[in-house]
Amino acid sequence: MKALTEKIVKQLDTKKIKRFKMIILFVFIGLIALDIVFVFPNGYPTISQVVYDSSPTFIILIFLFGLFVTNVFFQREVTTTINFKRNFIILLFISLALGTTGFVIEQPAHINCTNFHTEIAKAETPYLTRVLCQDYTKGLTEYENCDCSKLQCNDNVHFKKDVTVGVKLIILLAGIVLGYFLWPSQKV
Amino acid sequence: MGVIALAVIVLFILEISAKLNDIPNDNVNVIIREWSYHKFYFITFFFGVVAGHLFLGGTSRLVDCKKLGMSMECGIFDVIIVASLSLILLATGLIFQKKRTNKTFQVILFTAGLLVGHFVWSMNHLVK
Repeated sequence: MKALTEKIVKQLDTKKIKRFKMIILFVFIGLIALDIVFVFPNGYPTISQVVYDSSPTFIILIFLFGLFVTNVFFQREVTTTINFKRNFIILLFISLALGTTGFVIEQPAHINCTNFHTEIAKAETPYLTRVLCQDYTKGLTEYENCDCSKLQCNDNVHFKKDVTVGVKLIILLAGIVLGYFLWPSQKV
Repeated sequence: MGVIALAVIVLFILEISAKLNDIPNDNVNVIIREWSYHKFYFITFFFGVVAGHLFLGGTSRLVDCKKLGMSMECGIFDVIIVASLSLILLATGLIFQKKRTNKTFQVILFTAGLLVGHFVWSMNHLVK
């Protein structure tokens, strides 16, 4: 198995492969850029829309993005010995905790057009969670965010519980800061 | 979507091979870092924008294209602002940047991008 791995790595150990990797990277970035820029007027969900709507179930993505940003732009180099195993376990534990939290947040299925005036406030936790009023009149994949206090409710309006933007910012910053301290690179 | 997933998988496999091979600094994160610390510092700004766009987002528009009398969709107008700012940073980097930038500059760029993604290119606007 080790010999096979070494053989594959050796095969990939060429400048051509490096160039191919750069092309793949550009294709990847280009596709995402095109998706973001050109697809959204058609009413279909874009990647960004899918990622945005994945909250709060997949709030772990925010933390992972923070780690990624640090790893790419702000990674520190250390000369001292690092306990990578311990650091990895800490990051894994936090990731698992966040991953679980996302699934624990319960959606307010009991909120409807007759009770939303009173139930939204009850379902929200100040500074932590909020209830979004989303109007799906244009179709199943396209919604408009509504101001819940001025909402003209109908069957196309869905109520979604999400974490607040403040909490998302804290998770992102936590990913960046923890990545900085726990995921340095070893200077040789 | 399938093409993007395939690109991610191929890139992931090549990243693992880059980690295992003897060539130093051929990982994608190192390559992007080297670019962004030199002439292509718009990359850091753009990552900040993406973070603000994907995960944050204000409920009201900082620049409301309708109030400015524009006939185009405000979502497209937001993209034009982001693209323009990125292109300005790209141009300044290509023309003026001779030395490697420092980490403080990168933090400022990322924060600026985050603010633009949050206030200008938000997916959290209250439309109604």
